[in-house]
Amino acid sequence: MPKPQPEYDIKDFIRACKGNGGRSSIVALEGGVRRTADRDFNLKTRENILSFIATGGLENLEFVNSIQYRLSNEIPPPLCDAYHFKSGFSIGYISFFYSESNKKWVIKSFHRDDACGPTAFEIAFRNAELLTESLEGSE
Amino acid sequence: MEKVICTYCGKDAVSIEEHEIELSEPYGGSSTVKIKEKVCSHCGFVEDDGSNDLVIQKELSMLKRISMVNVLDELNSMGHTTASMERALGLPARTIARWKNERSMSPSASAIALMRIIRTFPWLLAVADRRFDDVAAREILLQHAANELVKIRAEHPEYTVTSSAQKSENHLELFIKVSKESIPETVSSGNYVFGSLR
Repeated sequence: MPKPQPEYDIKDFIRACKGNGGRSSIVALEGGVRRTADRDFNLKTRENILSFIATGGLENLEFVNSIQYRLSNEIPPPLCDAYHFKSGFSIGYISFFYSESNKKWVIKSFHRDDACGPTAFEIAFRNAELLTESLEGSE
Repeated sequence: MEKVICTYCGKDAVSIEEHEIELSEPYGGSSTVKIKEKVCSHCGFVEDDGSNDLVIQKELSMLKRISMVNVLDELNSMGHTTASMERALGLPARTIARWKNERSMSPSASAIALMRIIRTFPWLLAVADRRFDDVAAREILLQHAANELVKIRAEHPEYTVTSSAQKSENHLELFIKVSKESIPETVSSGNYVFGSLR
């Protein structure tokens, strides 16, 4: 069941991206994230992606949901927070989790939110306080 | 050697897998590079390897150089000389020549962005040449828009391009309509539909 509130403070995640600076990284990318970030946002390297996030690139952040990310039954599944964001003319989707065992943030998804056609309108309506119910997530 | 552990499950069952990806740059073509992914055989988690950035940046830097040379060659072939572009854009003499010819020098990201914009809309050089004057910029834009409409019309004779601009004291109306000429059958069946609705 998705949680209605974020599991993490997004500021902690953004701070982690800022602190990367080429040193041993505490933010990792799941396979495929760099490809979609390049395809949809012209961000070609991990450094590009983390710098973009660190410098406030995720505009108009809107929490989508927080769901369990399960790859294996042996490991207690971490909660993965998902957000919509705006950047220029595009609406994006990012999801991430914190791996307690490894003390690392992992970006699970980073792509344009094509599946979520009306989002630009929804955001506009919400900003105009004409829509209040929460958005359902998409992946 | 440092043990590689899985970021998801923490197990050391991680192997490195290589695969090719395609990189491309506008006006620079594309090329492929091999990147590494850490794959955990225990939980199946796949993570992008930290070393990929260097490989990608190196290849991109080469593609950007090719892109700059292509852009400048194409602008030159359109009749824009290096000296005239430098003058219009207010760049120090030989700046563009250095971007093009000095292999040891990588043009900055902003230089590449500027020249790509100029290559996409070469008439911006005329705007720059007129010191970005508002009125001149508008005239040049409209003139080139009109040229593009003429080109579209020549390329697609089956389409009719109609445009008009009207201005009154408090009203400005501009429209550009591109419509496909209807074949008689369509018109008659359309009339039939409307007839049925009456």
